[in-house]
Amino acid sequence: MKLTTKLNKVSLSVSHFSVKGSIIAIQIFFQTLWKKRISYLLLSPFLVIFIVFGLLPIAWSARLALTEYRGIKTVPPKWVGTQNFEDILQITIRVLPPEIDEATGEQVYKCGRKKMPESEARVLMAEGEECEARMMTPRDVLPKGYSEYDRYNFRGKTYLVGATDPRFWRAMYNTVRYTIGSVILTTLGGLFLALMLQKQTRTNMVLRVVFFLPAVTSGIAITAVWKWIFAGESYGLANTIFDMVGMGRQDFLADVRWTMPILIWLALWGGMGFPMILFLAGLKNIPLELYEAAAIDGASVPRRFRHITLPLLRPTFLYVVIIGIINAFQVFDVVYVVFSTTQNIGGVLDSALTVVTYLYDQGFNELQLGYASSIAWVLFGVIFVMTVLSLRLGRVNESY
Amino acid sequence: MIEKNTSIGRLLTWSAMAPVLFMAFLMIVPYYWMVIGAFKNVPELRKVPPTFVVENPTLNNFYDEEGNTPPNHQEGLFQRFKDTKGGFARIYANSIFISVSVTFASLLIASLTAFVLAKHRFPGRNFIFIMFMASMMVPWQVTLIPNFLIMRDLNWINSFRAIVIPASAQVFAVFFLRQFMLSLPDELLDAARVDGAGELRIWWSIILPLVRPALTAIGLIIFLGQWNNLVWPLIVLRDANLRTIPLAISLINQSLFGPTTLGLVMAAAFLTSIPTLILFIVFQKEFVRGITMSGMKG
Repeated sequence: MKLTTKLNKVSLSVSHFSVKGSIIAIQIFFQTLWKKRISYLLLSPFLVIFIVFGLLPIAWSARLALTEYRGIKTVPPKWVGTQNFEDILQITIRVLPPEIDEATGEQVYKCGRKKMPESEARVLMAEGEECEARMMTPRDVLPKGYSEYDRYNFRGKTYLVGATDPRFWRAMYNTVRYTIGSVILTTLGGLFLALMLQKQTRTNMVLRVVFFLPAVTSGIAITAVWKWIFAGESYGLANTIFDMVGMGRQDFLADVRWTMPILIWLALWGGMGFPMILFLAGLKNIPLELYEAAAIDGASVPRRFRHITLPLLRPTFLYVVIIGIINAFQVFDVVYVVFSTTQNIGGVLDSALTVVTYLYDQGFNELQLGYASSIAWVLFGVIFVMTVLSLRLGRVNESY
Repeated sequence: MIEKNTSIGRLLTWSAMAPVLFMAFLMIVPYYWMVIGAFKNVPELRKVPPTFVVENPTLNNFYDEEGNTPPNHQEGLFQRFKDTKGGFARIYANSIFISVSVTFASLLIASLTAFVLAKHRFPGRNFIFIMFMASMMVPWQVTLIPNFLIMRDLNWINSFRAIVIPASAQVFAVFFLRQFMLSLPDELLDAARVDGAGELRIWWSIILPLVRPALTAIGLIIFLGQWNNLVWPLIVLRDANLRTIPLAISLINQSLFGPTTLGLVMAAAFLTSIPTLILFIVFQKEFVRGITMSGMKG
């Protein structure tokens, strides 16, 4: 303490000397640090854990993303630059030309097991034989390292989409579809419920609890229950109901057409409570006088909704949508519990593969730790861009 | 939207309530299906079409004294998981241990940190706070793999430390507790300081009691998050003795098939939902507040 007071006096007397000023400023800085040592001491438990398990891994992950690392201690990560990101993201579209018969210059057709030029095939087809026009194989058309992701027919031409990592694009496509479907439906569902239940009657309070229940218990347990509700066999509840209605038995979990509807259904079932609560809070904040004034001016109920309720709920909308997007992009548990099999984490034909399940698969099944880190950064980028975009869109025509 | 005095308006309200009631019914269905599934016996589980009211309630899905004697009996939940010492009871205890210790550890550390950030002035305070905020923007998947490598290098794989210690620094908890503490009057703390109370003492006996509602709300969210935590335990707990409930449920779900497995899964789901349901009933308001604050979704 004596030293501190001395230094303080010194600093006061010489502060106008510019040469020594900086040194003294540093001394004062350290003095204040020392005086505030109790603050830093109390912060240290959190800071240490946060730095070791929160900050350090972010830096490490950024470095890992630029390497190839198989998770073996004795083989250090190999620097590959941006190769991982190129492998993940590269995508190209090519026209898939028909296979040409060299002798005649016509397209090759396949009838039964025999290949023949188009003119011969037409003759056979006229006789009722089934023939199929042959295209060149994707390998002939796509650059090296690419494989087929999907193909489309457009105006008589076949377009081939090739990617260096088709599974990533499958995962991204599924995730985007899931995000769009679930965010729109849960937001609208939550808004609808909030509007219907905004009066504080006893029934409404009970109903609010009912709709909020899944947000509390919709963890792994209830997700597992859903898997058995959608069991493909006749003992499944969904199939029992389908039978009753006469729609026939569905193989919900194995039929890829059902995967996305089920995923979105589960998101909707478990996700309406959260926006509902937020919209209820938002509705409560709208002053009743506004409605009364509008009613006196002769505005109809839909007009009042359109011009008072919706604009004033805009901030709530924005929050709900952004949180929804962030959560939906990170979906993992539902896929893992309902669709993953021991053979394939993405379910049948990767129909339920999402970005995070793919990341897990690459990281902990294939032990491509560098590659998986790159996927994480791509995910971060997409979430970041989506958030910024939503914020921008939400700010458009801010008339209130 | 306020006055619904006209009869047409009233009719509209009621016809619009119908879908709400139907949706509420759909909310309840899985719970009902879970409860009846858990108490059906094996022959009833096999029935097609399934029964909607349990005919012969039984506890066999939890524990079946007859053991594996087809066709009418199979081992119950507590007789499975032979590779875990103590079976499902041990798994349940693991989950409780992890969730409770994470909840208390993170509340203690986060409230201490929030207290310092809200009530102390010192160089670097804003920097630290901004750093916390920025880190919340990065999704957890980014740190997943390095954290796994850290656990490997620390030799914490197959140890509860790998879960409890990293999870005890919850940035969102600091953020909301700080928000809460900012509204507490500084005079209160100054008075205590004049009386000679140390900072730890002030934190423990003045701040903590005052922010109890916030602590409860955040504690519930943290507990729930751990209770349902799947990815991280999947990665760091490979030892069967350390299994948590989510790991056990996804294991039965992926490895067993057929109608009789349904009974096991429903029994497990039933036991798993009970603590969360009780907590929800007791702390309804805090739950709503916590979930709204954290932006967490199930």
